Amino acid sequence: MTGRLKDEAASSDPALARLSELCRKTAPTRVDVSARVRVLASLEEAPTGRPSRLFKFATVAASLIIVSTAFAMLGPLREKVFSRVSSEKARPPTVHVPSVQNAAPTAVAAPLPLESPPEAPVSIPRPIKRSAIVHSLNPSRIDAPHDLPPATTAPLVEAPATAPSTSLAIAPADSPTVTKEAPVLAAPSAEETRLVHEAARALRVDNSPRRAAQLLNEYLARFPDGAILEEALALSIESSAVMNDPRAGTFAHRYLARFPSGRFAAMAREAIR
Amino acid sequence: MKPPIPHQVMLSHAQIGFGVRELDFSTVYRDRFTAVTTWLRALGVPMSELEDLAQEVFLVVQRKLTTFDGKNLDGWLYRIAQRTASDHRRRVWFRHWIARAPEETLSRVASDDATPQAAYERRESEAELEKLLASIDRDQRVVFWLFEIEERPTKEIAETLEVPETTVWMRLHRARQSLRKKIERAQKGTSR
Repeated sequence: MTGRLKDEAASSDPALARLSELCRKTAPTRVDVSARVRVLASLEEAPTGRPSRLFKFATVAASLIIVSTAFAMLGPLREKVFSRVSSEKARPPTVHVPSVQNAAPTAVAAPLPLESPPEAPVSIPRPIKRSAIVHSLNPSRIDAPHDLPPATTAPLVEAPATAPSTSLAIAPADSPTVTKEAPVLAAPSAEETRLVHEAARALRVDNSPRRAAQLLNEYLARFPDGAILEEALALSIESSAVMNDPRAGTFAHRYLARFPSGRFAAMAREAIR
Repeated sequence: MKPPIPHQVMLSHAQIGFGVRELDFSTVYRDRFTAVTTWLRALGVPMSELEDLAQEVFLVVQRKLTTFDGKNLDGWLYRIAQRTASDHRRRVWFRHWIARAPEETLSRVASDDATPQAAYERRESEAELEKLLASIDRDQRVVFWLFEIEERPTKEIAETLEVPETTVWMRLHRARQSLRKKIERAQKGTSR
């Protein structure tokens, strides 16, 4: 087929016939004389010369100034944003566990969805023996919170895997049993955090288990299904144990009923015994 | 056999007027204005913007005529038209992207058809063909338009595009095949 489609006789192929029809109906380009005159007139009016060297230089210089100014303005902002992001990344998601001398062997605390206040981090009770609790709560042996080393630097020892019933190990966060029974909790409210934080402070720093018990009772009454209920119950066991309060067993039973394989289950069992 | 003249020598000849002695801008404009508009249409420029684009092409011609090597005026002009159309497409895309402005279409162009019905049918056909041509390869589109619509001979098209005539035939054949397939697919889609 070397002829034009529009000159072809009606094709048996409907697609080709349609294409021929379209070609036939489409008119070739026609530009009238007035358009030719108009374009010529506008060409005579239009500047024909190339942009001068001075103009080019000015354009390049202006572009460079704009780019460098933008870069200079964005630089500190970028650094600020970057430092904020990196500091957020660097902040460990774990809850700090204060170091207690002569404490029983324990494991690194599992990550918690618990936001620590920057001025005084929330302390989590450690699974320790009752005797050890009483011994460790000697005020002379407790450091102030700002002196407490972070959890990672505390003299922590991995619990032996062969004796889980007697060890006071905290189950790792990625343990299947933990994820099953203690799923990721919603972030605690500010009030929840305040109550538990103050209770921990009263128990560990101020050596006031009574005050701690009051705060924890308030927490348990107000937030029976709170986001940090596990920690609150564990602190209640600890504070009751320090005061030789028989309610330690009640709290321990409640804890084990709610968190049978929780991180402080060993401590709860110890309290019942 | 004479050795080929290096490009630089040709340029320097052109700069001193050798080979373009007979060519001044008004001659080029008078003789090639229609051809340039035809190429611009073949390159997909809508009728409504043809004048503006032709003006842009001849502005470049006016500026660069002294650098023309005097060998193939149509080829040289076509390359300028090609670049201008390409810039225009980019500008239109950018304008559309920024302002969401509707692109100019053939339906906006006034027609001189006898009846409104005929004008409407012609616009519809042209729009359909434009849409089909926009979906195929640009080189194939240019050859198809110049041969089928503008009825230019293949030899002239080959000279303008600076390709062998067999390439023109090949592009034409492929363009027809592509368009036929697209129409076939559309017909099958509507018959379902």
